[in-house]
Amino acid sequence: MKSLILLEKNPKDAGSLTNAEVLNPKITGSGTTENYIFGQGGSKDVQAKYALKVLGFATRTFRQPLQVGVPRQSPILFDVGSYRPVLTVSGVVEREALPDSSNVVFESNTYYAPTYFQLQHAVTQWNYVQGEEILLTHLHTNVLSVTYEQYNVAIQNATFGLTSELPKFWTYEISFVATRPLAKRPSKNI
Amino acid sequence: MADELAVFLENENDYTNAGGVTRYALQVEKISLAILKNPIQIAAPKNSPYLFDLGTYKPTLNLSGVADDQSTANTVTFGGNTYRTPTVHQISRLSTDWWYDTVQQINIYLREPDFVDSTGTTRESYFKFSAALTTISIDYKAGTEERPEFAMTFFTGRPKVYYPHMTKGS
Repeated sequence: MKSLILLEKNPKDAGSLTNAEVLNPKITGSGTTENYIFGQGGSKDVQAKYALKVLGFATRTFRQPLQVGVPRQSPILFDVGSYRPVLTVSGVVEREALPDSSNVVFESNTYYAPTYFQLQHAVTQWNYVQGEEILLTHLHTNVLSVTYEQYNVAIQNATFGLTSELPKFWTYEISFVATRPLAKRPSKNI
Repeated sequence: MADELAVFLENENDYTNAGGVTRYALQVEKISLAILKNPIQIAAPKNSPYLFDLGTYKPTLNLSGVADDQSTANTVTFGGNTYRTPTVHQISRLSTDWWYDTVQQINIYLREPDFVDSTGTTRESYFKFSAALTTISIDYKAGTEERPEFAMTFFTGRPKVYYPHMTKGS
């Protein structure tokens, strides 16, 4: 897809990132906070900001107006104006790391293509808390100015797949429940 | 079995094997991992909805592939241990006689491509799931009776990960 999906989480403390918030969440030194990842090395310097390889992106907004049937009359509609946006992102994710240079810079921040390990780590370890929001940014295809929508999201479910026909990549599909997006320089026909 | 889809099943204390360790190398053609989370999205009149997320998650692992109808001597070495490809009889037996408890620990290993660390040493990279079996199906079809298809579904915990591949991993 020409447009781009970015995924990140506001850290609780930008000066002291947790294992859930970094690109390399392996155990470092004696400060073991993550019991389920084994391997040497590790760095907590770089915040996890992911540029996803997306093949499909869908937004759905569910409304729930009441339609009250009236005998022999047109029904009465009652709409309190509530809505529930749901986003679905699908694509592929690398099994092995790409070179560090293959990144995307947006608003002075660097976003990296995650590996499968990093994306599944985010799915289980990121949860939506006020002040530590998960942000999903949908960058549009403009070239003259950057337009985008930014959603606060909570991950609802994720499916990862690996088949013998496509052995270099995991496929993924992640569904999010979302708030109303903030739009920056939206494209409008006027 | 494609090397890229190496999946291993292990029972650390198999009651049907006198408490010994039973290890199978599954001939898997497709892996599907579904992670269900349960955030609450509370709709508010004329307002953006509120999100409430406790951070719970429930992984479910689906494996599908082929099994042997007849005995073979095929083995695969992984992590210094020998794994045998199971026959349909062995899959049928594990579907009834294996259950997950603190003694009969059942593990699934998903092997990833090998990882070369900063010292140049090649390491085996893999995910290790604790798993409880929920469903097994075995399908015989005319023409492929010697290689029937199977599908397995497990409820799993969060995997332990050994030498994971990561962008900016060093």
